[in-house]
Amino acid sequence: MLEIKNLTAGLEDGKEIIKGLSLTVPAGEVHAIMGPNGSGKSTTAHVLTGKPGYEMTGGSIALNGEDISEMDPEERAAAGLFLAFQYPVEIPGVSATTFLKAATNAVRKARGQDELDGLAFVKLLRAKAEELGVSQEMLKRAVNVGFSGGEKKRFETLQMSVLEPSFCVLDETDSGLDVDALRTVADGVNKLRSPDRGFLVITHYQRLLDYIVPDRVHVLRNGVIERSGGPELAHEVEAQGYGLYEAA
Amino acid sequence: MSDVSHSIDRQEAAEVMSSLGFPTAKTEPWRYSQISRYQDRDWGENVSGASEQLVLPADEQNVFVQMNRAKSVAGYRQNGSGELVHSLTAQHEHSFIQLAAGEKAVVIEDLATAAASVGTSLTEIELAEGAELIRVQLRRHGEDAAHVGHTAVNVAGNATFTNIDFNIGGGLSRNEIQVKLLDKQARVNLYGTYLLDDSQHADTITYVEHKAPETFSKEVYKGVVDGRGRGVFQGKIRVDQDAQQIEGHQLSRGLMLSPRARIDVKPELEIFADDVICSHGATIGDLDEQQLFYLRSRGIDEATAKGMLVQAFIAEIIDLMPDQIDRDALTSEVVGWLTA
Repeated sequence: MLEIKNLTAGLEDGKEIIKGLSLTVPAGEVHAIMGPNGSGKSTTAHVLTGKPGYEMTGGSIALNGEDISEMDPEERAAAGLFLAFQYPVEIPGVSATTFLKAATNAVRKARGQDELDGLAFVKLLRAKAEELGVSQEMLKRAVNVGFSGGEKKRFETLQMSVLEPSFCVLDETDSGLDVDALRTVADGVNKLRSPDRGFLVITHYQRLLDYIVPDRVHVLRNGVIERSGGPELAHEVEAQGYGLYEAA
Repeated sequence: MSDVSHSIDRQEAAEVMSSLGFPTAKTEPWRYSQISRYQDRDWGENVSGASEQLVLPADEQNVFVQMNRAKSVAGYRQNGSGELVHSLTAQHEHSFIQLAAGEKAVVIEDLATAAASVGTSLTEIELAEGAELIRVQLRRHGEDAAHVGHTAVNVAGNATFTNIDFNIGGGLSRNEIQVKLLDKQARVNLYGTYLLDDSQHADTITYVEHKAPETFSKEVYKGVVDGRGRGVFQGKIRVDQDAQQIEGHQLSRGLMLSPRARIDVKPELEIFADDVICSHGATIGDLDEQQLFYLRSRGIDEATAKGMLVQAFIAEIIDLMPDQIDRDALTSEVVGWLTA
């Protein structure tokens, strides 16, 4: 369960972007945050994961009852938080497999689980990769280097699957994807939905929410949640546009 | 290819050495490097007799070349195809590699020097038509050691010289490589990496002369500097007037892990031909923040994440090592250096 209370945050030495955001996503639920450009969607994702350069100035963030707001990014990952990046970062010289093994064993160690040896890890990775349509060839390449838009997002989903987070934040996962790629990625995410795992799906467009159907939809504007509702709210926003709120 | 090598009187070399004097901060090729702080060390005795010479070094004003002639003992000699691993033993060593037409060799120099030693090495290399040489320098110099290595290479047509330098530490180490590409399709690849910490200093000085048309040079150097370490790359490419349709590429990349680390890059192109492709690039920076955050967001702690990125940076050079080198062991050495 993710509980955000009265969050205020922004760029370090910059202006405040998030101006009192409160949101609770119970375990097993999928919530969506929709909003126009500049509403604070990406900042929310970055602040949740502790990205350097962003500063939380007030409020609290709790994951499964534990306050994570002072934690380093790696500690948040160990605590069970996962961010699927809008733009996954290319890391030349580090193979996807090496990276996944280092990450898996880092979180396992931090969670008090045994680290996996080479063979055990490869078995696990093969099974999960197959399930999510990630080729063995991709796993040999450097992290995200030469990956298509769809491959990058599938690789994010694979990381999510291997790291077994209790809460996932999807930052504009639909950006740069055509409908087929979007469907594949959404299928992967849907496979990972479970009663003890929550999701926060951040998106500009309702399109993604046709494939990853949320339990609740929140509309973010000017750093606060302006409206919340069921999945039908996404369609309403899509039909009427964010301009409606602009005029109001 | 010259069958007869010349000889040089050591006494004469000693006199030239004395007249040139020990480099100061004002001696141009030493502008970035304070070797003067090693002047009072014991640089060894002059020896008498004649010193052999295979390839004429371009710079007779090089005091350490003269010093080597005056003081050196025989190092190794590789004539013909084969593999050779040589460990440095003497304070001043003078070595030769001579490959006849079509011969292929791999030479690995293991240059480990004692903690506070000083010394030089001079390596003269002559490659005849179509010969191929890969020479690896594994330089593990002592913490407060100074070492100046000079390599002079003549590359005939269709011959290829590849030099791969792996330099981990050393008080002050200098690697000077001068290569003459003498005929069509002569080719040189100069690759290297250095890892510096504390107040270590590494100089890489390359001088490639395209003396004939259709000759090719490629240089890739990657340095990682931590603490108050300082890395220097000075690379010069000269293209003679009739050396048309040559290609010369030079790339120097530096990674600084501490705010007090320093890297100086001085590329120099001297081009007298008009139909050439030449490039030089230099990038110096610290680790990529986006990459670092990506790794950390997956649970990898900051120190490990930095290590992975540095290792990835160096991997390009280690991957170029020939099969005679245990690349995994070198990678482990890099990891060990990072976590030390």
